[in-house]
Amino acid sequence: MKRSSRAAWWLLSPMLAMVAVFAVYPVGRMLVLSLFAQNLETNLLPVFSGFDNFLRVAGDGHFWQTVSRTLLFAGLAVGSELALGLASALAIHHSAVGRGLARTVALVPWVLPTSALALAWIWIFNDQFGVFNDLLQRLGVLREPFPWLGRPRAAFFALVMADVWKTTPFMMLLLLAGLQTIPAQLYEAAAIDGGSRWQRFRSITLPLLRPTIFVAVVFRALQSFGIFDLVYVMTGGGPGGATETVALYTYRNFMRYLDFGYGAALLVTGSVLLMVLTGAIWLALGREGRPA
Amino acid sequence: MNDLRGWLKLGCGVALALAACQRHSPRDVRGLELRVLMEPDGRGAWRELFAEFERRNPDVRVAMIEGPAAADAREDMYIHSLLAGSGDYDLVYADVVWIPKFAAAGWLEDLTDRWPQAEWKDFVPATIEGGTYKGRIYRVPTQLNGGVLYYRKDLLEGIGAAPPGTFGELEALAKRLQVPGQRSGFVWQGRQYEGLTCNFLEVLGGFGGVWIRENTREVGLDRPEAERALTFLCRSVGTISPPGVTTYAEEESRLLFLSGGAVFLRNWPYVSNLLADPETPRAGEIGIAPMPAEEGRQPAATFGGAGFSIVRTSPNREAAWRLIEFVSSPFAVEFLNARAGLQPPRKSFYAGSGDPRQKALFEALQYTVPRPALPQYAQASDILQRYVSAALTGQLAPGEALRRAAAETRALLKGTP
Repeated sequence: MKRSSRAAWWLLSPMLAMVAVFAVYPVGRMLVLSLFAQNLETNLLPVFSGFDNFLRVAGDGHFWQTVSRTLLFAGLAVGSELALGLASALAIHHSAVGRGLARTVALVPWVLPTSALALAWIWIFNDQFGVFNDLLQRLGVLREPFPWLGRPRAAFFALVMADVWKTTPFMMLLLLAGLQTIPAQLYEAAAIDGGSRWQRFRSITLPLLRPTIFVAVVFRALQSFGIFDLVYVMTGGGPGGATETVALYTYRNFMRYLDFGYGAALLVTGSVLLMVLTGAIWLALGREGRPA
Repeated sequence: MNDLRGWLKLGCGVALALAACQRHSPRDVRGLELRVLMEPDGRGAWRELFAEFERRNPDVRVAMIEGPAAADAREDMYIHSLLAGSGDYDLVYADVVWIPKFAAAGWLEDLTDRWPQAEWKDFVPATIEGGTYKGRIYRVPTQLNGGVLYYRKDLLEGIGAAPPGTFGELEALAKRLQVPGQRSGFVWQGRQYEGLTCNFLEVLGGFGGVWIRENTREVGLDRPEAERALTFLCRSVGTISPPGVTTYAEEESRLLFLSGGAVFLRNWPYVSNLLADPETPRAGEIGIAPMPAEEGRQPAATFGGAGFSIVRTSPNREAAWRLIEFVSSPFAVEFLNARAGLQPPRKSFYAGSGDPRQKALFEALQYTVPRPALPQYAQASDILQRYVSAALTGQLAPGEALRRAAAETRALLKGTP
């Protein structure tokens, strides 16, 4: 008994060391750094400043603007991904033929590198050469080409669209896996009892899929709150700062302004907000059907 | 016993993995090695130039690391390395806007006393000012870069017009020569990024305005000249410039212009080098002029371009200086012009060149003005980009945008030396 538990610790130790080095240490370092001023004014040397950085965060209207914008982005993107992902998961789940092929093809956007895709999106949305304007003009929706990335709301919409296109397959795959764990007998029993398709979906599929939906939504919400590469390449936060996200602003403070203490405080604040966000999603989706 | 063997195997595996991870240190191969991170060396010009340097200096080897083409990404890589003090690089192949920040951080060697003053005279002044922080020189330029105006010679000659000298003339010619739905008047870079700062500063300079005075930290964005400059740009969007100009960076505007979709283009000299390529469409129909300016004022071309600095903590600073002397020599800058299309920073190159395009570029690049050398340059530029972009895309009126930008910039610079 004792021997085997010691062996277990030994076997765990590489993983624990990894966690310590790559998770515990950086997080701890960030917490410490957020209590120091370390920037060009201090010659990049850390000078203890207590909670000054956090007071600055609290009064930084620009930061809070990026927070609400990023939350809106995450809400719109994850909501659309959930709807589209669920629809396509159901479609693939119920079609016996070509399921493997459909799954593979659907995953293509998700495995392509975001920054390369973002460059492609820039050209797709271009007003002179872009295929998006061309399509809409041919369909008669637009009379003149529209600069999608040059209008605050349209640029935001374009980002959501690019993100949804890229990550819906991931959502679909998770939900498909969830669907496949639901026992077929339940549907058979419901069919015998005369339950309609909609009733079966409402009373069997949705409740049993809830744990999976919870995990998928939390995962995607955390990811999209940290959206960086797509925005950095596609709009650079423009036009007029209309698409600047929390991650982009934090990056600017770190790497462009060399304001490390403040950047750390922004990161810590962002992490706390993420915990609150996760809690909110749990309250909404996770409570009853929480996975054991 | 079995256990023990297992552990041994694991140990060997870990040791092997660690050994594989350890960076081999090439410094002890032969002589010393100079490491520098550069942009992608597509045509192999730098490789050839460094090989020539190695031939002349047999004790030194140059290890060029080809980084990403985006200057921002390379800046990040340098910052990571310099901040960690990891000694990855001996030289910095530096864009002009990095210098104040890197110098303020204490990462760069002061080159003022190494570089003989007699040499300075041959360089276009902005190229030296761009490498200067608080009166000391931290960078030797290898490239002169600045905004110039490209125009369709054939169209202008067709109506017997000369290239525009003032913004009013530019506007009038653009209106006259543009064809709705087919050809715009004037394209430039209006996307929210560093290029927008460059574009705006050229128009601002042409209207006689000032962004930030480096020595007094005075901010001129809420003066009438600045409002006139931004109003001109805002009015252009949708009249002489396509609405999408607010999303363009260099390549979008360049492609539109060279495909015949515009009469005028503001861009960097790299476009001129493309014109030397017979594959480029309309190469013979394109002229180069300085950016316009208001009547009686000097045009402005925002200075950009690369040069070399030495990492202050490098053990190979002497050899690094030898390399800098070599790559900034008349031979090297001419070679880089011919092979990589980099505009030489030396006046003597242009005096000796018989190429009319080089003469036209030099004429336009005489007006290069540096961006202010402030450690907080990046913050100031981000503020400016955000508000100029907001005005261009109709979110704020030009005057209001500039007032807010001025207030934020003043708050940023308040209390700093």
